[in-house]
Amino acid sequence: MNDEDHCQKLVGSLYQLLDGEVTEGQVQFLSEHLAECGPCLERLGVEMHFTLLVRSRCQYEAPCPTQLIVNIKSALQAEISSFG
Amino acid sequence: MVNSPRPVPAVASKPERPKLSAEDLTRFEEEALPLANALYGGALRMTRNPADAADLVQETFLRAFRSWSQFKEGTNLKAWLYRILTNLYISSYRVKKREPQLVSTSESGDFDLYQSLVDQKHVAQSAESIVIDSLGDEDIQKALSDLPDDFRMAVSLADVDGFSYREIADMLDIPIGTVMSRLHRGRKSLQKALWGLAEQRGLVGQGGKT
Repeated sequence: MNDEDHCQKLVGSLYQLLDGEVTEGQVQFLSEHLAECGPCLERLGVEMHFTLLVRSRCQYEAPCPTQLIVNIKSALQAEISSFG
Repeated sequence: MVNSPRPVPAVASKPERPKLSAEDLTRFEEEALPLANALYGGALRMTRNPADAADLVQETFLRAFRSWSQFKEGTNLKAWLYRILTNLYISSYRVKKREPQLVSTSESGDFDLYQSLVDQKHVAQSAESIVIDSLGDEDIQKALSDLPDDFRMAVSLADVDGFSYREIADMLDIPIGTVMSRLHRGRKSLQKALWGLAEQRGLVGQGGKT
């Protein structure tokens, strides 16, 4: 395999790497490649940055409306009452 | 490639419901109900509408309570609840609303954020800035919510809610390979949309290749 193939392989499993979904064998290969390939390391950095950006900007844990909690509780209560 | 209509997964059936006691209710309220905020956030991202999100969350808790005896102590309760939530969303809500199913091929699968940054000579030494940072929260949330449904679900569940491929596959009732490809294409589509927006706002030069 030449360098370009190595880069291709990294690009192909970039998201798995980022998501912590690679096998041990893959990790070894990928980390060796990253240690010697600047552009791939940068690419990984960009993708990681993007993923974290999405997470931090979209994680609106909008508080559940109080009324909804009240409704849920009464629905649950009705559920056990219905068994008598 | 054409997407055939996906079979609707069966909603958690409840053949004979075990009797639920007041103690069950107390335990459920203590353990499951504190996850209401997380679930409501997820439901909002799915339905994009507070009233529908509220309905979805309420129905999710009701179903979860009915199946409470099936929840295995020590496993991930949030993932279990999300599974019920996504099932409900897909099987009833989405069908009811007749949302168009994802049409597969979009060229955005090829969008390359890194290369775009390089072309703009914008690659930060440490990727500290990727242009998109300058966009507002609402821009990013809107771009996510504008993605085709299947992509939006995958990206939302993985990137925002932090679930694993396996968990997402279980929730959506699809193979892991499908999770991976939706996630891949979803992220690329999102990057492409946001890059386009950055161009419109003049944050990056519009020159050159499209």
